[in-house]
Amino acid sequence: MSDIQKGNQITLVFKYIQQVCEECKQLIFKIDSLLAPELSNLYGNRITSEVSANLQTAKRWIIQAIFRTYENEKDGLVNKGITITFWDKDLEQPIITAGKIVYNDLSNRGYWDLWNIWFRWAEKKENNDYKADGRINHFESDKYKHIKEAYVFSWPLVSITDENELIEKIVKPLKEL
Amino acid sequence: MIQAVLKGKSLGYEWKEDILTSTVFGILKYIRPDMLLIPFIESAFLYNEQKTSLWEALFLEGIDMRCYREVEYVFWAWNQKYGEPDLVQIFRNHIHGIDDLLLIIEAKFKSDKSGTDEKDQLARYFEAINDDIGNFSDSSVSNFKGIKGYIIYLTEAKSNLEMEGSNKIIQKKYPGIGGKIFQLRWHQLTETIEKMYPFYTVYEKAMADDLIMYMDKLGLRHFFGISLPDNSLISTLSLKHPIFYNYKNKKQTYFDELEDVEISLKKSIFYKEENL
Repeated sequence: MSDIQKGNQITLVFKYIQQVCEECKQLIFKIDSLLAPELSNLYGNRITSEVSANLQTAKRWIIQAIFRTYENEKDGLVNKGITITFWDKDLEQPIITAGKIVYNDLSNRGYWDLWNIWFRWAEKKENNDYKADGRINHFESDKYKHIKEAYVFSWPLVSITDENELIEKIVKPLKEL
Repeated sequence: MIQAVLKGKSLGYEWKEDILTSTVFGILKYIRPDMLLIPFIESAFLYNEQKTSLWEALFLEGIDMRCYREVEYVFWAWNQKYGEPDLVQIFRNHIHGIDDLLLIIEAKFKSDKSGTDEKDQLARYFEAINDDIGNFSDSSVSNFKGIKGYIIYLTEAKSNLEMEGSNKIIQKKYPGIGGKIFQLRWHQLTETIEKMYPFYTVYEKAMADDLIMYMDKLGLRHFFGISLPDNSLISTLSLKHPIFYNYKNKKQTYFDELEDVEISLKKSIFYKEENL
Protein backbone atom coordinates (compact mmCIF):
# COMPACT_ATOMS: atom_id res chain seq x y z
CA MET A 1 0.00 0.00 0.00
CA SER A 2 1.43 3.37 -1.00
CA ASP A 3 1.70 6.31 1.36
CA ILE A 4 -1.04 8.08 -0.58
CA GLN A 5 -3.36 5.09 -0.15
CA LYS A 6 -2.60 4.98 3.56
CA GLY A 7 -3.25 8.69 3.94
CA ASN A 8 -6.38 8.42 1.84
CA GLN A 9 -7.85 6.10 4.46
CA ILE A 10 -7.66 8.87 7.01
CA THR A 11 -9.37 11.32 4.68
CA LEU A 12 -12.01 8.68 4.00
CA VAL A 13 -12.77 8.29 7.68
CA PHE A 14 -13.18 12.04 8.18
CA LYS A 15 -15.37 12.32 5.09
CA TYR A 16 -17.50 9.51 6.40
CA ILE A 17 -17.92 11.32 9.71
CA GLN A 18 -18.98 14.43 7.80
CA GLN A 19 -21.51 12.38 5.86
CA VAL A 20 -22.98 10.94 9.07
CA CYS A 21 -23.27 14.47 10.50
CA GLU A 22 -24.99 15.67 7.33
CA GLU A 23 -27.50 12.81 7.53
CA CYS A 24 -28.15 13.47 11.20
CA LYS A 25 -28.95 17.07 10.29
CA GLN A 26 -31.50 15.78 7.81
CA LEU A 27 -32.88 13.39 10.41
CA ILE A 28 -33.34 16.19 12.92
CA PHE A 29 -35.04 18.47 10.41
CA LYS A 30 -37.35 15.59 9.61
CA ILE A 31 -38.20 15.14 13.29
CA ASP A 32 -38.75 18.92 13.64
CA SER A 33 -41.19 18.74 10.77
CA LEU A 34 -43.01 15.67 12.07
CA LEU A 35 -43.46 17.24 15.51
CA ALA A 36 -44.48 20.66 14.20
CA PRO A 37 -46.46 22.77 14.75
CA GLU A 38 -47.43 21.41 18.20
CA LEU A 39 -43.81 21.32 19.35
CA SER A 40 -41.15 23.84 18.46
CA ASN A 41 -37.46 23.61 19.12
CA LEU A 42 -36.01 25.39 22.08
CA TYR A 43 -32.41 26.17 21.24
CA GLY A 44 -32.60 27.21 17.58
CA ASN A 45 -29.74 25.91 15.49
CA ARG A 46 -27.54 24.93 18.45
CA ILE A 47 -27.26 21.17 18.57
CA THR A 48 -24.15 20.51 20.61
CA SER A 49 -21.68 22.00 23.06
CA GLU A 50 -18.38 21.02 24.55
CA VAL A 51 -16.65 20.21 21.31
CA SER A 52 -13.14 21.25 22.17
CA ALA A 53 -10.88 23.71 20.41
CA ASN A 54 -8.20 23.06 22.98
CA LEU A 55 -4.96 21.36 21.97
CA GLN A 56 -4.80 19.40 25.19
CA THR A 57 -8.25 17.83 24.94
CA ALA A 58 -7.84 16.30 21.52
CA LYS A 59 -10.35 13.48 22.03
CA ARG A 60 -13.08 16.06 22.31
CA TRP A 61 -12.28 17.64 18.96
CA ILE A 62 -14.69 15.09 17.57
CA ILE A 63 -18.38 15.53 18.31
CA GLN A 64 -19.70 13.12 20.92
CA ALA A 65 -23.42 13.80 20.83
CA ILE A 66 -26.08 16.20 19.60
CA PHE A 67 -29.34 17.32 21.16
CA ARG A 68 -32.66 18.80 20.09
CA THR A 69 -35.16 19.98 22.68
CA TYR A 70 -38.78 20.84 21.98
CA GLU A 71 -41.27 22.85 23.97
CA ASN A 72 -45.01 23.15 23.87
CA GLU A 73 -46.44 26.60 24.50
CA LYS A 74 -49.28 25.14 26.57
CA ASP A 75 -47.04 23.62 29.21
CA GLY A 76 -43.70 25.29 29.78
CA LEU A 77 -42.54 22.77 32.37
CA VAL A 78 -42.69 19.88 29.93
CA ASN A 79 -40.01 19.44 27.30
CA LYS A 80 -39.54 16.67 24.80
CA GLY A 81 -36.28 15.98 23.11
CA ILE A 82 -33.92 13.74 21.27
CA THR A 83 -30.20 13.17 21.45
CA ILE A 84 -27.94 11.25 19.13
CA THR A 85 -24.82 9.89 20.77
CA PHE A 86 -21.94 8.78 18.59
CA TRP A 87 -19.54 7.58 21.24
CA ASP A 88 -19.25 7.23 24.99
CA LYS A 89 -17.57 4.83 27.35
CA ASP A 90 -19.05 1.36 26.89
CA LEU A 91 -21.30 2.50 24.05
CA GLU A 92 -21.05 -0.08 21.29
CA GLN A 93 -22.82 1.86 18.56
CA PRO A 94 -24.47 5.25 18.05
CA ILE A 95 -27.92 5.52 19.57
CA ILE A 96 -30.81 7.89 19.25
CA THR A 97 -32.54 8.69 22.53
CA ALA A 98 -35.91 10.36 22.87
CA GLY A 99 -37.93 11.36 25.86
CA LYS A 100 -40.10 13.67 27.86
CA ILE A 101 -38.88 15.62 30.85
CA VAL A 102 -41.19 17.22 33.37
CA TYR A 103 -39.35 19.96 35.24
CA ASN A 104 -39.81 21.30 38.72
CA ASP A 105 -37.51 24.20 38.08
CA LEU A 106 -36.56 25.55 34.69
CA SER A 107 -33.72 27.68 35.96
CA ASN A 108 -31.46 24.65 36.15
CA ARG A 109 -32.55 23.17 32.84
CA GLY A 110 -29.58 22.23 30.67
CA TYR A 111 -28.86 21.24 27.10
CA TRP A 112 -27.84 17.76 28.13
CA ASP A 113 -30.56 16.82 30.63
CA LEU A 114 -32.02 14.09 28.44
CA TRP A 115 -28.56 12.77 27.60
CA ASN A 116 -27.50 12.81 31.25
CA ILE A 117 -30.63 10.97 32.30
CA TRP A 118 -29.85 8.17 29.87
CA PHE A 119 -26.09 7.99 30.29
CA ARG A 120 -25.25 9.30 33.74
CA TRP A 121 -28.07 10.02 36.15
CA ALA A 122 -30.38 7.06 35.90
CA GLU A 123 -30.14 4.26 38.35
CA LYS A 124 -30.31 1.09 36.26
CA LYS A 125 -32.63 -1.57 37.65
CA GLU A 126 -34.44 -4.58 36.38
CA ASN A 127 -37.28 -3.43 34.08
CA ASN A 128 -35.64 -0.04 33.98
CA ASP A 129 -32.36 -1.02 32.47
CA TYR A 130 -31.88 1.62 29.80
CA LYS A 131 -31.23 -0.64 26.85
CA ALA A 132 -31.51 0.70 23.32
CA ASP A 133 -34.48 -1.47 22.45
CA GLY A 134 -37.30 1.06 22.42
CA ARG A 135 -38.52 0.23 25.90
CA ILE A 136 -39.64 3.33 27.80
CA ASN A 137 -37.80 3.87 31.07
CA HIS A 138 -39.04 6.02 33.91
CA PHE A 139 -36.68 8.42 35.67
CA GLU A 140 -37.09 10.11 39.01
CA SER A 141 -34.31 11.15 41.34
CA ASP A 142 -33.83 12.98 44.63
CA LYS A 143 -30.44 14.07 43.49
CA TYR A 144 -31.55 16.01 40.42
CA LYS A 145 -34.35 18.00 41.92
CA HIS A 146 -34.93 20.35 38.99
CA ILE A 147 -36.46 17.36 37.20
CA LYS A 148 -39.73 16.04 38.53
CA GLU A 149 -39.73 12.97 36.30
CA ALA A 150 -38.83 11.81 32.83
CA TYR A 151 -39.59 9.06 30.36
CA VAL A 152 -36.84 8.04 27.98
CA PHE A 153 -36.16 5.42 25.34
CA SER A 154 -33.48 4.69 22.77
CA TRP A 155 -32.85 2.84 19.54
CA PRO A 156 -29.67 2.09 17.66
CA LEU A 157 -29.22 4.92 15.17
CA VAL A 158 -28.74 2.54 12.25
CA SER A 159 -32.13 0.97 12.94
CA ILE A 160 -33.78 4.18 11.72
CA THR A 161 -33.51 3.18 8.10
CA ASP A 162 -36.19 5.40 6.59
CA GLU A 163 -39.00 7.78 7.33
CA ASN A 164 -41.46 5.05 8.31
CA GLU A 165 -39.05 3.61 10.87
CA LEU A 166 -38.47 7.12 12.18
CA ILE A 167 -42.20 7.65 12.65
CA GLU A 168 -42.84 4.25 14.23
CA LYS A 169 -39.79 4.09 16.48
CA ILE A 170 -39.29 7.70 17.50
CA VAL A 171 -41.99 10.18 16.52
CA LYS A 172 -45.14 8.26 17.48
CA PRO A 173 -43.90 7.09 20.90
CA LEU A 174 -42.47 10.55 21.60
CA LYS A 175 -45.78 12.20 20.77
CA GLU A 176 -47.60 9.71 22.98
CA LEU A 177 -45.43 10.39 26.05
CA MET B 1 -39.20 33.92 3.35
CA ILE B 2 -36.39 31.42 2.86
CA GLN B 3 -33.85 33.41 4.84
CA ALA B 4 -36.34 33.96 7.67
CA VAL B 5 -36.98 30.21 7.84
CA LEU B 6 -33.30 29.32 7.77
CA LYS B 7 -32.51 31.78 10.54
CA GLY B 8 -35.48 30.82 12.71
CA LYS B 9 -37.33 34.11 12.22
CA SER B 10 -40.46 32.78 10.56
CA LEU B 11 -42.52 32.47 13.76
CA GLY B 12 -44.03 29.14 12.85
CA TYR B 13 -45.34 30.35 9.49
CA GLU B 14 -42.94 27.95 7.81
CA TRP B 15 -45.39 25.14 8.59
CA LYS B 16 -48.25 26.82 6.67
CA GLU B 17 -48.90 25.20 3.31
CA ASP B 18 -49.69 28.48 1.56
CA ILE B 19 -46.34 29.91 2.60
CA LEU B 20 -44.57 26.76 1.42
CA THR B 21 -46.41 26.77 -1.92
CA SER B 22 -45.77 30.42 -2.58
CA THR B 23 -42.11 30.21 -1.55
CA VAL B 24 -41.32 27.17 -3.67
CA PHE B 25 -43.29 28.06 -6.79
CA GLY B 26 -42.36 31.71 -6.36
CA ILE B 27 -38.75 30.65 -6.95
CA LEU B 28 -39.53 28.09 -9.64
CA LYS B 29 -40.96 30.96 -11.69
CA TYR B 30 -37.48 32.43 -12.10
CA ILE B 31 -35.71 29.23 -13.11
CA ARG B 32 -36.00 28.05 -16.72
CA PRO B 33 -39.08 25.78 -16.75
CA ASP B 34 -37.30 22.89 -18.45
CA MET B 35 -34.60 23.03 -15.78
CA LEU B 36 -36.83 22.50 -12.76
CA LEU B 37 -40.57 23.09 -12.96
CA ILE B 38 -41.21 20.67 -15.81
CA PRO B 39 -39.01 17.77 -14.67
CA PHE B 40 -40.44 18.21 -11.19
CA ILE B 41 -44.12 18.09 -12.10
CA GLU B 42 -43.58 15.52 -14.85
CA SER B 43 -42.33 13.15 -12.15
CA ALA B 44 -45.82 13.11 -10.60
CA PHE B 45 -47.27 9.63 -10.82
CA LEU B 46 -50.40 7.52 -10.57
CA TYR B 47 -50.84 4.81 -7.96
CA ASN B 48 -51.41 2.16 -10.63
CA GLU B 49 -49.37 -0.95 -11.20
CA GLN B 50 -47.04 0.74 -13.68
CA LYS B 51 -46.76 3.87 -11.54
CA THR B 52 -47.48 5.87 -14.70
CA SER B 53 -45.78 9.25 -14.58
CA LEU B 54 -47.39 12.46 -15.74
CA TRP B 55 -44.72 12.60 -18.42
CA GLU B 56 -45.89 9.22 -19.78
CA ALA B 57 -49.56 10.15 -19.60
CA LEU B 58 -48.97 13.40 -21.49
CA PHE B 59 -46.69 11.65 -23.97
CA LEU B 60 -49.54 9.26 -24.85
CA GLU B 61 -51.62 12.32 -25.67
CA GLY B 62 -48.82 13.69 -27.82
CA ILE B 63 -47.93 16.44 -25.37
CA ASP B 64 -44.40 17.41 -24.41
CA MET B 65 -44.39 20.21 -21.85
CA ARG B 66 -40.92 21.26 -22.95
CA CYS B 67 -42.34 22.42 -26.25
CA TYR B 68 -44.37 25.20 -24.66
CA ARG B 69 -42.60 28.53 -24.78
CA GLU B 70 -44.42 30.19 -21.87
CA VAL B 71 -45.73 29.17 -18.49
CA GLU B 72 -48.13 31.32 -16.53
CA TYR B 73 -48.55 30.87 -12.78
CA VAL B 74 -51.94 31.75 -11.31
CA PHE B 75 -51.89 31.44 -7.53
CA TRP B 76 -55.20 30.85 -5.74
CA ALA B 77 -57.54 31.45 -8.66
CA TRP B 78 -61.01 31.82 -7.17
CA ASN B 79 -64.18 30.06 -8.26
CA GLN B 80 -67.20 30.95 -6.18
CA LYS B 81 -68.86 27.55 -6.41
CA TYR B 82 -65.86 25.25 -6.17
CA GLY B 83 -63.20 27.12 -4.20
CA GLU B 84 -59.60 27.99 -5.03
CA PRO B 85 -56.90 25.55 -6.07
CA ASP B 86 -53.46 26.58 -4.82
CA LEU B 87 -51.95 26.99 -8.23
CA VAL B 88 -53.09 26.87 -11.82
CA GLN B 89 -50.34 26.59 -14.41
CA ILE B 90 -51.02 27.43 -18.00
CA PHE B 91 -48.55 26.30 -20.63
CA ARG B 92 -48.84 28.35 -23.83
CA ASN B 93 -47.40 28.89 -27.25
CA HIS B 94 -46.44 25.34 -28.24
CA ILE B 95 -43.73 25.19 -30.89
CA HIS B 96 -45.80 22.80 -33.03
CA GLY B 97 -49.05 24.64 -32.43
CA ILE B 98 -50.58 22.11 -30.04
CA ASP B 99 -53.29 23.49 -27.76
CA ASP B 100 -52.40 25.21 -24.52
CA LEU B 101 -52.31 23.05 -21.41
CA LEU B 102 -53.78 23.83 -18.00
CA LEU B 103 -52.67 21.99 -14.85
CA ILE B 104 -54.01 22.34 -11.35
CA ILE B 105 -51.67 21.93 -8.41
CA GLU B 106 -53.13 21.38 -4.97
CA ALA B 107 -50.45 21.45 -2.28
CA LYS B 108 -50.63 20.09 1.26
CA PHE B 109 -48.36 20.33 4.26
CA LYS B 110 -49.44 19.25 7.74
CA SER B 111 -53.05 18.87 6.68
CA ASP B 112 -55.13 16.38 4.75
CA LYS B 113 -57.39 16.86 1.78
CA SER B 114 -60.34 19.01 2.62
CA GLY B 115 -63.84 17.54 2.31
CA THR B 116 -65.10 14.10 1.44
CA ASP B 117 -67.80 12.72 -0.86
CA GLU B 118 -69.71 15.61 -2.46
CA LYS B 119 -67.31 18.12 -0.92
CA ASP B 120 -64.16 16.28 -1.95
CA GLN B 121 -61.63 19.00 -2.70
CA LEU B 122 -59.89 17.39 -5.66
CA ALA B 123 -63.15 16.25 -7.25
CA ARG B 124 -64.52 19.78 -6.87
CA TYR B 125 -61.52 21.27 -8.67
CA PHE B 126 -61.91 18.71 -11.44
CA GLU B 127 -65.53 19.74 -11.81
CA ALA B 128 -64.66 23.44 -11.63
CA ILE B 129 -62.14 23.22 -14.43
CA ASN B 130 -64.33 21.04 -16.65
CA ASP B 131 -67.81 22.48 -16.07
CA ASP B 132 -67.39 25.94 -14.65
CA ILE B 133 -64.08 27.30 -15.89
CA GLY B 134 -65.72 30.54 -17.03
CA ASN B 135 -66.49 31.44 -13.44
CA PHE B 136 -62.91 31.68 -12.24
CA SER B 137 -62.09 35.19 -11.12
CA ASP B 138 -58.83 35.30 -13.01
CA SER B 139 -59.28 35.89 -16.72
CA SER B 140 -56.27 33.73 -17.65
CA VAL B 141 -58.18 30.78 -16.26
CA SER B 142 -61.75 31.75 -17.14
CA ASN B 143 -60.85 32.40 -20.79
CA PHE B 144 -58.73 29.29 -21.12
CA LYS B 145 -59.30 27.12 -24.18
CA GLY B 146 -57.18 24.02 -24.47
CA ILE B 147 -56.20 20.77 -22.80
CA LYS B 148 -57.27 20.57 -19.17
CA GLY B 149 -58.32 18.18 -16.44
CA TYR B 150 -55.00 17.07 -14.98
CA ILE B 151 -54.61 17.64 -11.26
CA ILE B 152 -51.38 17.29 -9.32
CA TYR B 153 -51.74 16.54 -5.65
CA LEU B 154 -48.54 17.69 -3.99
CA THR B 155 -48.05 16.32 -0.48
CA GLU B 156 -45.48 15.38 2.12
CA ALA B 157 -46.52 11.73 2.60
CA LYS B 158 -48.13 9.11 0.37
CA SER B 159 -51.73 10.07 -0.37
CA ASN B 160 -53.00 7.07 -2.30
CA LEU B 161 -56.11 6.64 -0.16
CA GLU B 162 -57.13 10.28 -0.43
CA MET B 163 -56.58 10.19 -4.18
CA GLU B 164 -58.49 6.95 -4.57
CA GLY B 165 -61.50 8.55 -2.89
CA SER B 166 -61.37 11.54 -5.23
CA ASN B 167 -60.93 9.38 -8.32
CA LYS B 168 -63.99 7.31 -7.43
CA ILE B 169 -66.12 10.45 -7.19
CA ILE B 170 -64.78 11.76 -10.49
CA GLN B 171 -65.39 8.44 -12.24
CA LYS B 172 -68.94 8.32 -10.91
CA LYS B 173 -69.70 11.76 -12.33
CA TYR B 174 -67.64 11.44 -15.47
CA PRO B 175 -67.76 7.78 -16.54
CA GLY B 176 -64.83 6.76 -18.71
CA ILE B 177 -62.47 9.33 -17.28
CA GLY B 178 -59.72 7.87 -15.16
CA GLY B 179 -56.26 8.63 -13.93
CA LYS B 180 -56.34 12.38 -13.93
CA ILE B 181 -55.07 12.97 -10.40
CA PHE B 182 -51.32 12.52 -10.05
CA GLN B 183 -49.32 12.27 -6.88
CA LEU B 184 -46.31 14.48 -6.43
CA ARG B 185 -44.34 14.57 -3.18
CA TRP B 186 -42.36 17.51 -1.90
CA HIS B 187 -39.18 15.51 -1.58
CA GLN B 188 -39.20 14.97 -5.35
CA LEU B 189 -38.26 18.63 -5.70
CA THR B 190 -34.81 18.23 -4.14
CA GLU B 191 -34.28 15.01 -6.06
CA THR B 192 -35.04 16.88 -9.29
CA ILE B 193 -32.71 19.73 -8.34
CA GLU B 194 -29.91 17.28 -7.62
CA LYS B 195 -30.38 15.69 -11.05
CA MET B 196 -30.54 18.96 -12.94
CA TYR B 197 -27.95 20.90 -10.95
CA PRO B 198 -25.03 20.49 -13.40
CA PHE B 199 -27.06 22.24 -16.09
CA TYR B 200 -27.90 25.37 -14.09
CA THR B 201 -26.54 28.84 -14.67
CA VAL B 202 -24.80 30.59 -11.80
CA TYR B 203 -28.03 32.39 -10.85
CA GLU B 204 -30.08 29.23 -11.04
CA LYS B 205 -27.55 27.46 -8.85
CA ALA B 206 -27.90 30.19 -6.23
CA MET B 207 -31.69 29.79 -6.25
CA ALA B 208 -31.47 26.00 -6.25
CA ASP B 209 -29.06 26.09 -3.29
CA ASP B 210 -31.51 28.20 -1.32
CA LEU B 211 -34.38 25.90 -2.23
CA ILE B 212 -32.47 22.83 -1.10
CA MET B 213 -31.60 24.41 2.25
CA TYR B 214 -35.21 25.49 2.66
CA MET B 215 -36.63 22.05 1.88
CA ASP B 216 -34.03 20.50 4.14
CA LYS B 217 -35.00 22.78 7.01
CA LEU B 218 -38.66 21.84 6.60
CA GLY B 219 -37.82 18.14 6.64
CA LEU B 220 -39.03 17.81 3.06
CA ARG B 221 -36.11 15.77 1.79
CA HIS B 222 -36.25 12.04 1.60
CA PHE B 223 -34.53 10.33 4.52
CA PHE B 224 -32.79 7.06 3.67
CA GLY B 225 -31.23 6.34 7.04
CA ILE B 226 -27.65 6.86 8.08
CA SER B 227 -25.05 5.70 5.56
CA LEU B 228 -22.99 2.77 6.59
CA PRO B 229 -19.28 2.83 5.84
CA ASP B 230 -18.60 1.62 2.32
CA ASN B 231 -16.43 -1.41 1.68
CA SER B 232 -13.13 0.42 1.48
CA LEU B 233 -13.80 2.11 4.79
CA ILE B 234 -14.94 -1.11 6.42
CA SER B 235 -11.76 -2.84 5.34
CA THR B 236 -9.74 0.05 6.72
CA LEU B 237 -11.53 -0.07 10.03
CA SER B 238 -11.31 -3.81 10.33
CA LEU B 239 -7.57 -3.97 9.84
CA LYS B 240 -5.63 -5.68 12.56
CA HIS B 241 -4.16 -2.30 13.28
CA PRO B 242 -6.92 0.22 12.61
CA ILE B 243 -6.26 3.91 12.26
CA PHE B 244 -8.28 4.69 15.33
CA TYR B 245 -8.39 2.61 18.42
CA ASN B 246 -10.09 2.53 21.73
CA TYR B 247 -8.86 -0.65 23.28
CA LYS B 248 -8.17 0.45 26.80
CA ASN B 249 -4.98 2.26 25.92
CA LYS B 250 -3.43 -0.65 24.09
CA LYS B 251 -1.41 0.79 21.28
CA GLN B 252 -2.73 -1.01 18.25
CA THR B 253 -3.11 1.59 15.59
CA TYR B 254 -2.05 1.85 12.04
CA PHE B 255 0.53 4.37 13.12
CA ASP B 256 1.94 2.00 15.71
CA GLU B 257 2.52 -0.44 12.93
CA LEU B 258 4.77 1.96 11.10
CA GLU B 259 8.46 1.45 11.55
CA ASP B 260 9.93 3.52 14.32
CA VAL B 261 11.64 6.60 13.16
CA GLU B 262 14.99 6.71 14.78
CA ILE B 263 16.19 10.14 15.66
CA SER B 264 19.66 10.33 16.95
CA LEU B 265 19.81 12.24 20.19
CA LYS B 266 23.50 12.40 20.45
CA LYS B 267 23.17 16.13 20.38
CA SER B 268 20.46 17.99 22.22
CA ILE B 269 17.74 19.44 20.09
CA PHE B 270 17.49 22.52 22.25
CA TYR B 271 20.51 24.08 23.77
CA LYS B 272 21.62 27.22 25.41
CA GLU B 273 24.45 28.87 23.66
CA GLU B 274 27.18 29.24 26.17
CA ASN B 275 28.40 32.59 24.97
CA LEU B 276 25.04 34.28 25.36
